[in-house]
Amino acid sequence: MRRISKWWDILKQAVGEGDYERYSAHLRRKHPGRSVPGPAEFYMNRLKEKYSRPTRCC
Amino acid sequence: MGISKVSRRLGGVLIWSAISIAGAGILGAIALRRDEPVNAMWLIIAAACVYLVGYRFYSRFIALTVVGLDDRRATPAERLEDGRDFVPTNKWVVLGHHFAAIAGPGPLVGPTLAAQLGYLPGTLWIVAGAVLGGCVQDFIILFASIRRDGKSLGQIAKEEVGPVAGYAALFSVISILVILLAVIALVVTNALKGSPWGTFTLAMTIPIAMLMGIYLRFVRPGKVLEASLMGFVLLMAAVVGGQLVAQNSTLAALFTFDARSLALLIIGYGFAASVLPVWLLLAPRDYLSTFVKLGTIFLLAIGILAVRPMLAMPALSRFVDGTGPVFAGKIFPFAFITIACGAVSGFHSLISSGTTPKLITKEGQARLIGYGSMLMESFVAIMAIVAACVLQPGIYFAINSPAGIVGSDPAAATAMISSWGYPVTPADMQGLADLVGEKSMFARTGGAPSLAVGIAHIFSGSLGGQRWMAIWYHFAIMFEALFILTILDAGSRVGRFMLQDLMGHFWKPLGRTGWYPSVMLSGALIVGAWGYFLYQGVMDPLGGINSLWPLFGIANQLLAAVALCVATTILIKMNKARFAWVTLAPMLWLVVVAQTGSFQKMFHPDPRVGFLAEASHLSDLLASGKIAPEQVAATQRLVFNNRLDAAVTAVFAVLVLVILFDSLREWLAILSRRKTATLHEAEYVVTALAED
Repeated sequence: MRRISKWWDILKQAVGEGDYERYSAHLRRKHPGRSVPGPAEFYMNRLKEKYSRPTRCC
Repeated sequence: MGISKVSRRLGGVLIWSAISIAGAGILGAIALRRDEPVNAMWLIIAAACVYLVGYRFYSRFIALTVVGLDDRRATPAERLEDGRDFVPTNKWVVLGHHFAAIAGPGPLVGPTLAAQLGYLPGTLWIVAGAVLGGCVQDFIILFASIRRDGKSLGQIAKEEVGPVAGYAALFSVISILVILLAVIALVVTNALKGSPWGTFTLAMTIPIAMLMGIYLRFVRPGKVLEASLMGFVLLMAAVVGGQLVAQNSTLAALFTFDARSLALLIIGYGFAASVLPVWLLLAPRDYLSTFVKLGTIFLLAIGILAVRPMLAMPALSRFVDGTGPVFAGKIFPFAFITIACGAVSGFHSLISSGTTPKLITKEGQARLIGYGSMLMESFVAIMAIVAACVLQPGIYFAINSPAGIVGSDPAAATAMISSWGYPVTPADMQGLADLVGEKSMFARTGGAPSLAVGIAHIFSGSLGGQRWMAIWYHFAIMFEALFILTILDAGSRVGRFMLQDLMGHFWKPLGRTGWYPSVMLSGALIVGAWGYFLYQGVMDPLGGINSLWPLFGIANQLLAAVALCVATTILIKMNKARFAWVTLAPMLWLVVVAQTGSFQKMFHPDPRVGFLAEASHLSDLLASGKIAPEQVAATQRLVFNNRLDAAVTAVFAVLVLVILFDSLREWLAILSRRKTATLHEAEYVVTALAED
C-alpha cells in the first residue's frame, strides 16, 4: 500500500499537481512578507512561462 | 579485497562481456547473412545490448573522465531554488519529462522513410549514431547548462565561442523551426487527406482540449491527472465515433478534404492556435498528447515483444542505389539525413539547455537523464523501423510512393512496384484499405500512414485480431496527428517569441509580447513561413516529402553540429583537449554528412535529388512549350520553389561553415596559448543536500 501511494505521489509530482503547494510553501518559508497567488493565478502564470520557450522537440 | 568482492567483479566482467559479444555478434550476423528472413527480435536484442554497453561504459567514461561530474557541487536547482523553475526534482520524474520533451514525430517518421533502403542501414545508424553522437551531445550540453545556471544553447554559444556562433545558433533555431513545422504539417496533411475518419477524430481533439482547458482553469485549477483522464475517454470516443462518421455519407462528406484544403485549414488553425491563450488549447492538448504518446510507445514495445514479428523487408533494398521512390539519393549521405531524430538530433540541445538542467538535483544524474533519455529515443526509432519493415515491401512502397512517380492508377502503380521486385496487387491494397477503414491507401506519403499500418499490424497481432485493425490504425493516426499538432502550436508560439525578440532590436514596441499588433504580425510571419513550405509541399507532384524531409534533416544536423562545436569548445577550455574527440568525431561526421547532403540537394544532376537540376529541367520544358497552357503558372511556381529550396539549403550549408570556422579560430587561439581559456561556469558551491 505504501508503495502504491509513493508511486501515485511521484506520478502527481510528475504531472505538476504538487507545483502550487510547493511554490506557496516555498514563498511562505523564504519570503514570508510576499503575497501568495491563488492556485488558478499560479497555474495560468506557469503555463505562460512554460510555452514561451521550446518545450517539445521533433 | 574479499572473496565475495572479487567474485562479484568477475561476475560483472562475465555479464558485460556476454552482453557485448551478443550485441556485436547479432549485428554482425544480421549484416552478413542477408538472405534469410530475420525476426524483429534480433534487431531489438542487438540494439538493447549496444545501448547497455554504451551506457555502462561510454557514458561512464564521459561522466567520470571527460567532463568529471561532481556530486558534491550544488546544481542550479539547489542553489537557485525558487519553487517554480529551479526545483530539485526526483531523477525519474526529470527523466520522464526530458524523454517526453525530446521524443516527437522525428524518430517515428525518419526511420519509416529510411526503411526504403532496407532495415539494415537505418538500424546501424540509429544504434551507432545514438551511442556515439546523439547521446553524447544531449549529455554534454545538459552538463554544460547545469554548470551555467541552466542557460540556453544560444547563450552558452555566445559566451563560450563568441557572438558569431551565438547569432548563428539563434538564426539556425528559427529556420529549423520553420522547416520542421512545415514538414510535420505535411505529414499530417498526407495522413488525413481523403480520410473522414481521421479528420473527424483530429478535429474533435480541438473541442476536447478546450473542455479540458476550461476545467483546468475554472473548475479544478491544475488538476492535470483527472482532466487528462476525462480527455482520454473523450478521445477514445472520438476514435471510435470516427468510424460512424466515415460510414455515414452525409457526415463523411463534411469531413473529407483534399490535401490542398487540409493544408489551408491547418495553416489557419496554426495561426489561431499561436495567438490564442495557452490555457485554452495548447496546454491541455499538450498534456493529452504526452500521455497518449508515452502510452503508445510503451504499448508498442510490449506489442513487439509479444508478437515477435518477422521482418518482411530485405536487409538492403535495391534502392541503396539512390533511385528510391520515397526519397531520392544514396545511402550516403541521405540515410544519415533522413534519420536525424533517433540517432542525432540537434533540436535536443535546446531541451537539454532548457527546463531539464533547472530540475536536476545532482550532477551525476545528468548521465541517466542526458545519455539515458536519448538511448530511449533511439529505441523508439528502432521500433519505428521494425513497424515499417514488418509490412510486405510491396505494400510499404505502394503506401509511401508519391503518385508523381508510380502514377495514380492502381493497376499501373502496383505493376510498377511489382516490377521493382516487391510484388503487390490492386486487390492487396484494396483489402488493406478496407481493413483499416480508408478508401485508398495508395500514395499516402510522409510515413505516418505506413507507420500506423505497422502499429495496427503489431497491436492487432496481440490484441483483438483483424477486426480491430481499423480502430488500431485510426488510433495510431490520431496519436501521430495529435502530437504533431501540439508541436505545431507550441513551435509557432515559440517561433513567434523568438521573432518578436529579434524584431524588438530594430523597433522596441515590436518586442513587446503583450502588444497585439506585434503578436499578430510575428504570428502571421512565422505561420506564413511554414505555411508557405507546407503548401509548396502539397502542390509538389513528387510529393513534397522528397524535398522537405531532407531539408529538415540537414537543418537538424546543422543544429547538432552547432551544439557539438559548443561542447568541443567547452572541453578544450576545461583543459580536456585530449578527450575532445568525444564530441569532435561526431561533429565532423555530421559536418561531412550535412555538407555533402546540402551540396547534392543543390547541385546533383538528377532532378529528383538536385533542386537546381529540377528547376532547370522544368524551365526547359516551359521554354520548349511542352507544358499545357493551364499548367504554365503552376510549373513556374515549381521552378521558383525549387530555386527557393536550393537557396535555403545554401544558407544552411554556409551557416555550418561559419560556426565551424568561428569555433576553430577559438580552439586554435586557446591551444596555441594566444588566448587564455576562460570558462563561464557558475561558482563552485558545495552541496548541502544529503547523499542519496
